[in-house]
Amino acid sequence: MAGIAIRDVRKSYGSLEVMHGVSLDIKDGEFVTLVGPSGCGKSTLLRMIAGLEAISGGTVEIGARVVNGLAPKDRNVAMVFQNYALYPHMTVAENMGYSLRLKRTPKAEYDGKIQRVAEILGLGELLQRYPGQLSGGQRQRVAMGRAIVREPDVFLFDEPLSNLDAKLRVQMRLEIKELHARLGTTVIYVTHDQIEAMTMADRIVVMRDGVVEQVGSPLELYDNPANAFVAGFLGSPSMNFLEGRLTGGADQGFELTAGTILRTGRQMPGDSSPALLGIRPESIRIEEGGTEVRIAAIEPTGADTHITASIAGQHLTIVINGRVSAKVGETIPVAVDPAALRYFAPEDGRRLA
Amino acid sequence: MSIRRILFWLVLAGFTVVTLFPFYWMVMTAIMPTDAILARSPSLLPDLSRASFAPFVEIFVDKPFLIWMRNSLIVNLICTTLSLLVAALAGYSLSRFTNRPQQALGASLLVSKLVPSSLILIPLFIIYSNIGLFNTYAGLVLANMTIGVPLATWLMKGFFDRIPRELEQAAMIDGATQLQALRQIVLPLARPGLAASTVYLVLTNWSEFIFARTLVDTPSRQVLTVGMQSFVGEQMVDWQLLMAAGTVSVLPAVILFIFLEPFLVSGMTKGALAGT
Amino acid sequence: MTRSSTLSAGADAPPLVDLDFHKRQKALSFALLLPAAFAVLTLILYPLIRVVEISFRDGRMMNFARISELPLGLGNYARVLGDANFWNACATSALYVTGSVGVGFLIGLATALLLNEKLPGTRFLRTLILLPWAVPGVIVAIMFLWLLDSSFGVFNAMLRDVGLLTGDFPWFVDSRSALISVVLATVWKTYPLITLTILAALQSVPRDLYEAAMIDGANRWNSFFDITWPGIKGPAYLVIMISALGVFRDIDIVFATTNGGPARATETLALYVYKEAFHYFRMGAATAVGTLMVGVAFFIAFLFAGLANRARY
Ligand SMILES: Nc1ncnc2c1ncn2[C@@H]1O[C@H](COP(=O)(O)OP(=O)(O)OP(=O)(O)O)[C@@H](O)[C@H]1O
Ligand SMILES: [Mg+2]
Repeated sequence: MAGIAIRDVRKSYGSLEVMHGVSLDIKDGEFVTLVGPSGCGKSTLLRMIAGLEAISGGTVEIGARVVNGLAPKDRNVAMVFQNYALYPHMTVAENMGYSLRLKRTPKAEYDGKIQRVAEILGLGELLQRYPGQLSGGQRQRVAMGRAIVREPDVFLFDEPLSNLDAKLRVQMRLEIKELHARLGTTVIYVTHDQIEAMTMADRIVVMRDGVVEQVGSPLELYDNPANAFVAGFLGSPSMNFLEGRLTGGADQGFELTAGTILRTGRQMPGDSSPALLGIRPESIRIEEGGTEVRIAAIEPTGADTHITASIAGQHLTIVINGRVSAKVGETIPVAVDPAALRYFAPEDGRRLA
Repeated sequence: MSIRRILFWLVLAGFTVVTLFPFYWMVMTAIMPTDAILARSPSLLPDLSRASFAPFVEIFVDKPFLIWMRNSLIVNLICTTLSLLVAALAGYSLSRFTNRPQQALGASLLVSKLVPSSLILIPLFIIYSNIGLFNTYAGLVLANMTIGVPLATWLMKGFFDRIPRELEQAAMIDGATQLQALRQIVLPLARPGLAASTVYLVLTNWSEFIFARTLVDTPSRQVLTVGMQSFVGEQMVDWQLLMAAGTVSVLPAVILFIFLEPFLVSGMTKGALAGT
Repeated sequence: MTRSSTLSAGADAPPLVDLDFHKRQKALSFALLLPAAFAVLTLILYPLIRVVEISFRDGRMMNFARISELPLGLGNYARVLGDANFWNACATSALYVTGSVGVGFLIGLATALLLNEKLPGTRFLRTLILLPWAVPGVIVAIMFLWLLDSSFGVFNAMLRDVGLLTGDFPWFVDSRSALISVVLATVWKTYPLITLTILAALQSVPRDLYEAAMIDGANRWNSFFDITWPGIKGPAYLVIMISALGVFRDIDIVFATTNGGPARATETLALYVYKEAFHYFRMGAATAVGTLMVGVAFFIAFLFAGLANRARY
């Protein structure tokens, strides 16, 4: 078991720098997810921790030991790949036991460990099969089994569930969570599924273009995003951003470009500078006397209803708990909880308030 | 089956018959009595009850056929083994790394495909005369490697490319060194590639003629293709004997080819193609 | 780069980590290349440099060890370019390559299309059709010498049977038919690889494209030119290039059938190089022609590699 310290880590391919100084501290036993859009460097960071990719600058420490120059095998980490990377010419048991064989584990201990892990993951029946004879979900489990058998200091997951169907994904999500609770090993988990990130993580790291945008617990990031990017990345449907300007004084509102004022019930600091107003879809209610918006589309999901509405030429997504009787084309009055509003600078998305 | 498909089938069968006819006629010439074949209009379907396999014995008695075969085999086996070894290592490196040296080697290997054997022979001939490799198996093996190494390296690169790198990476995380990962994970998976390359190399070496003809002149070191060609130069060609010898020389290649063919068709990639 | 040692005192540090793993990995990747690099350098690149060097050595030297003592100059190129036989060989090579590869391609394409029809027994026919590819060039030559033999060749016997020929006809000796005969033998050996490549390409053309085209009312011609050809032309160009380079380079079949005769009617450039070098021992002329040949081969490769690349998009 070990914590991880990443200090100003950089990565270049030739003259092209794709990772621009990432720093991160991960406590022993923590479950951390790395999220961010495609190409932002999640896999690269994970692979540098694993030793599969040379570190161009900065240091990575695992358990207070700098591992930059160590071979993957000397870092005592385990990794689950997106495509599982099971050895096709070995049975399930051999796949899981490969690391033990390399360590020349005595036969009895070897068998015991494989049995135990197979039991945890429900792979008992499959031990003598080859990877080619398994379903996607079963392969996924074997890949996890192979990682668990090693009893590593750190588990690294690179989008391990992205090849599974939606239902299996939810199930495996829970199993991985349970496993973490049971083993207590540090986990770094890469995903671009923000629901996975939110539900599994103790802390989320949001990355973009090779830099860390924000680190924090899921709700912290959800409630207090450092910038518009983080705010928009977490949450589904994602946060609404309305362009306009802050209006000081008694109006207590946000002036949209067309001159319409959205009443926010909260007086803003500063003057009438342009800003982005961020509103989560679920913090909008239908309320008599609110701002009128026109309904452009209604999507019932069963439990909730998603409404796309327009106000002063801008789109607004609203999530209503339950069902609505309004029709497309009608207008409805909406109100927002002032405490849920977030303001961002339009130039760079930096949080204003 | 529709009329069109029957027609297609007949055309295809026609192609096959025409393609196979030279083989057929070679075997017939070898086994049938001369009067049945060396005729103004021989029957295309000679009376097989008169077939005799005596010519197949004769070639071993009349000609140093056994010596040629032995020489071909020795050169072939050594050259195939060396080329495969060199090529498997280089092919792996080319497949997994793209640094300068890899790029340089890749380019040189491509250039070597553009060079006629009759041209590279000239400096080899001069160098061999200087350092005493003339008339040696070693000289012939090295000359054949100028064809075998580029060919097998590209083939092997193509096969390695199809083995996901994640497998070795998983192995290295599991505690393997790079060499262990290569030996225990990659090589077992590259076995079909090694088999295909081996057969490819054996066939190519078996066919090689111009190096052997030029870099060796002692009769006791001659290889099969050169020996076969020397038949033709004679005043009176004994066609029956020549065809018996031809049949025996083609047979190993044909049998090997039948093993190679599934690999070729199912596994044809650009890498494999560029190897030929 | 950072220091690659351990912070925690040595006790639990694994051994042999003083050298950075990624540097070792890179070193290993070079080490794996070494044998091949050595082979290529000594057996191909160095000899090629010698080829170019010798092509610029004027005069003749029967002692090859001392060929480098000759003065440098352009004499060989001047001599060769003024040699009618060189130009004859150029023309012969051009005819030989385009004839062999052209006919080979048509047969290869036809057989591949037929094999792709999934007719009964095609799996077996495929193996049979591909067999000539495995036959050594010299044996191909001998087989065709016999088939096309003037007096006892079975081909002439058939011609006589149907009344197209009375008496004998020496296919490989008559200057009108020699090149055609050599091309025939070469086609027989060359076309299987073309069949194989195009067949592999055909099998990767998605079936549903044909179905979509059929719904759109395409006939067989349309679907060949609109779907099949675009799907296979990349590999087709590639295999044309590879076959053309092979036919351009190799001399086995020509050497063992006609040896360039009659009266140089089948003397290709590769054979011209060989004869200059090993019959007349004019190494300078031979290497000069060889150098020009590599240039031409480069051009062919470049042209078709470009076509094949473009076909991918
Ligand atoms: N071998 C390489 N050479 C050059 N650039 C590379 C290489 N590997 C990755 N990159 C670049 O590094 C950046 C980060 O890639 P990385 O694979 O880490 O992204 P990611 O966040 O994992 O994306 P995804 O969600 O699509 O998996 C990308 O811009 C990518 O183009
Ligand atoms: Mg990734």
